[in-house]
Amino acid sequence: MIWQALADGIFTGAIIALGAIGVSFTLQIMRFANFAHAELLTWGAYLAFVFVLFVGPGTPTGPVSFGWQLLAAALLAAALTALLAWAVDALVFRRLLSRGAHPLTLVFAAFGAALVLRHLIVLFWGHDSRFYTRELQMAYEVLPGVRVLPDQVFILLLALAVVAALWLFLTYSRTGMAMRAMAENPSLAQSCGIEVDAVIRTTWLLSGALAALAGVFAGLTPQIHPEIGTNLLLALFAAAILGGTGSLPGAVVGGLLVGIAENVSLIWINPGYKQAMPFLVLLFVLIFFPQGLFSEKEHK
Amino acid sequence: MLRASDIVAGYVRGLPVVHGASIAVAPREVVAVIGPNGAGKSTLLKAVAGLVVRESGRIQIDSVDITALATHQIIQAGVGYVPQTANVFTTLTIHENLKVGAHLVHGERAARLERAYALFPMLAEKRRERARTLSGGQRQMLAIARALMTDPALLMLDEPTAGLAPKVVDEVFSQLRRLAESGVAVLMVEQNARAALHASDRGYVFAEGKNALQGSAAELLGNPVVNEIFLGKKSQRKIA
Amino acid sequence: MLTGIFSYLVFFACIVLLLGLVTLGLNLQWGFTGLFNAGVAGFYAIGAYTHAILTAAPQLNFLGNFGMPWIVGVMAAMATTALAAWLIGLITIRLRGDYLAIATFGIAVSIQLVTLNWEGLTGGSQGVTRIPKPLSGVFDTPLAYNLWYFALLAAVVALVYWALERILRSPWGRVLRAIREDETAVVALGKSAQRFRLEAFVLGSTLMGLAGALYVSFIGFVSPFDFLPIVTFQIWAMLIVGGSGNNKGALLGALVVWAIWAASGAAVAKLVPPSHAAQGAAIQVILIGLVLVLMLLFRPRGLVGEQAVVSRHAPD
Repeated sequence: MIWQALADGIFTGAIIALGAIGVSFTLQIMRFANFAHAELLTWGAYLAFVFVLFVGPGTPTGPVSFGWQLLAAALLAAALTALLAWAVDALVFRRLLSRGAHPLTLVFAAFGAALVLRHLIVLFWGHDSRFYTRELQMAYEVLPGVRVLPDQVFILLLALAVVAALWLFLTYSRTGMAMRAMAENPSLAQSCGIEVDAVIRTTWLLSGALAALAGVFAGLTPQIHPEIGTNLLLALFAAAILGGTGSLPGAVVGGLLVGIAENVSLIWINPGYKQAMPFLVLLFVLIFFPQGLFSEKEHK
Repeated sequence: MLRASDIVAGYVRGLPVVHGASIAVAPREVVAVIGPNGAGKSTLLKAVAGLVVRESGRIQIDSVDITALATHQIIQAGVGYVPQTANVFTTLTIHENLKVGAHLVHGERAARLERAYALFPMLAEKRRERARTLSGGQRQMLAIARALMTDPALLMLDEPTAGLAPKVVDEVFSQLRRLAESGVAVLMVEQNARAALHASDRGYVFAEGKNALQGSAAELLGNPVVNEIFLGKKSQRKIA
Repeated sequence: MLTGIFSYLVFFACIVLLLGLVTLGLNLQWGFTGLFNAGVAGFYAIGAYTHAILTAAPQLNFLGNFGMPWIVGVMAAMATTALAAWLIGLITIRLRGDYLAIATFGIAVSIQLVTLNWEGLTGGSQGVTRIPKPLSGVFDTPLAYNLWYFALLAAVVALVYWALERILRSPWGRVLRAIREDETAVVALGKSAQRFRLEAFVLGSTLMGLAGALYVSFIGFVSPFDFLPIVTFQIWAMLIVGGSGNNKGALLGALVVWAIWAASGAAVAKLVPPSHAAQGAAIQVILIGLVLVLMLLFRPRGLVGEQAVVSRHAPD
């Protein structure tokens, strides 16, 4: 029973991790809690869905329930959501900051933006669940008492690949290093000639793209609905803060831990409280070690 | 090279810390800015680097007016800045610190990195280690090496010898002298007034946000008023 | 027909007063103390359910429903909310601004989940019904009753408004203002700055609990779906639109925002076919969201705010 929960937790955790990376960097670099981030997951899922409506999810390739078309849809959705994230920043957050807004005003504006984004989805699509594919999948029993769907495994592998690529980007590319520098010490980064606006722009684009992928993966397992992102909001924050804001490995480990905690706790707790689990993790982290697991810097 | 006139600047608009300061530095010169705590010396450097609010005055690098430019543009114009604290990226390795310092450098990056390692062999040994593991003196070396990555025409340092052992202090000052000889204009703010003046060509004495005295290093060292300011009454006010 | 409109207006005014009371509470927390409470709905819910459980007629399967007098319910609602706020505040007050927002948001979500899932206590998704309305026997017609309740609410809100204005001019209030405005005051006060903040947080939340009790005793029933995050957002909208830091603004904002909400709801109901009700509701929310964001961008001071929500020069 617990091994199944563990497995489920890892799969959910991978999705949370992808979403949490964006939240983590936004918290560290822009220093504000972006309540609208979760809606980027939802938009990513639906944008991919639009594409799939036109070209279909593709015939199942191998053990997974879809073909390359779904992956193409995911990539397209990632690009569009990246632009959406950037647009929201340019239209709302940037403008507020340039007027000397208090950082908490941004949080509130994010709350408002989240509502608008989510309800635009409801406006176009209604509340019903949608599916990328109607293919039914057989679960495989990989260990005694542990059943997994091939889709879940595929998503996990894909998520790992994305994280690896991101890690390479952050470690070796000029822009990636600039992001890490800005995350640690903004004024020193500026003294190196790093342009703050450029780093912020890159952060939004990456956040949006990652959120979209997380949304598509969540929509795949097993369905898309307007609350898909919102339901993960607390988990995303919990993972980002648990792992230590501004840290890629932190967001990944945080995501996995939150996913596992969520699923393992279901063994003992009424499933109706599932959403509260990440919040309890978050509260625990905020009280006892707000700097997170992987933070190497001082926390204010 | 650097010409700053009547600078009014501070951390918050409307609450200036620098009240109309003017300084100039020529290439191949080492210029020290000394004065009591809270006099606004660090803020002046930050104003030139564009890191604080510049309310009025004019700052020029050669003929380029940098008064209203953003920090990254100022760095691009040939300014290098070493802050007093948090002057290295502790989560990055030494190698990465230098690479980030060379963010604006294209094409020559590898060559400049090697040159930095030649100038500071100790850094070369530890290049794969996180900057967090360095001692105070080593961090200072890294901080200076990092700022030199862009080959600045003007290098500004905020208290480069703070907290360092005397032998290391000497080393830092002789590095700076050598830099000046190679053509860079060096401007430093220093608490270690006497040692700084000995290593400099000229100096400015700062008090209450602006210039109080200036002259060649020799003049200032021999000046009884200067001696009084440093050995006598230190300014009571401390700005957070 | 005129009676119908008048009746509706009275009902509308009652809701405005209720929500205005919640907004006054939030104003104390944010406008005067600088605490970003993103869990308003949670405290509102605690007050509402406490009152409901204590005063509703006894029913099978419920833990509570003691059938207690109205005033007991109200007092208990305030006490429970105060206690909850005190506990929550102890944990969260010292958090950095946006972390406080996340924490209080999570708390409200958790409270809402409890109201939804702990069926034995709260009736789950069915909620609690047959909550007695005070003096309902005395007034025959709904209109008469609503007028009475309007008078009751007006008196309560006036009393609270007066009390808040007095408190804020008192020494306690002056310290609060200093903490909000001046970082050095915070440093000088040290730990006791936190105590003041906690007190303001508890007091503000108590007002929200009071409003919750008054709300359920007006409507007569309560369900978990009355306390979704959108409620928190609506209250914040009221504060921002009215102008935070200003009690008049809080009440004015409640009127304006609720008017927009009700008007857009009515328009949507008229124009959108019932089959698309959910999408119609979405339009309402989008409208409010846009009003908010536009307000922040173009008139951050709010309608009558003395101090812009937007400008604070000392960074967090």
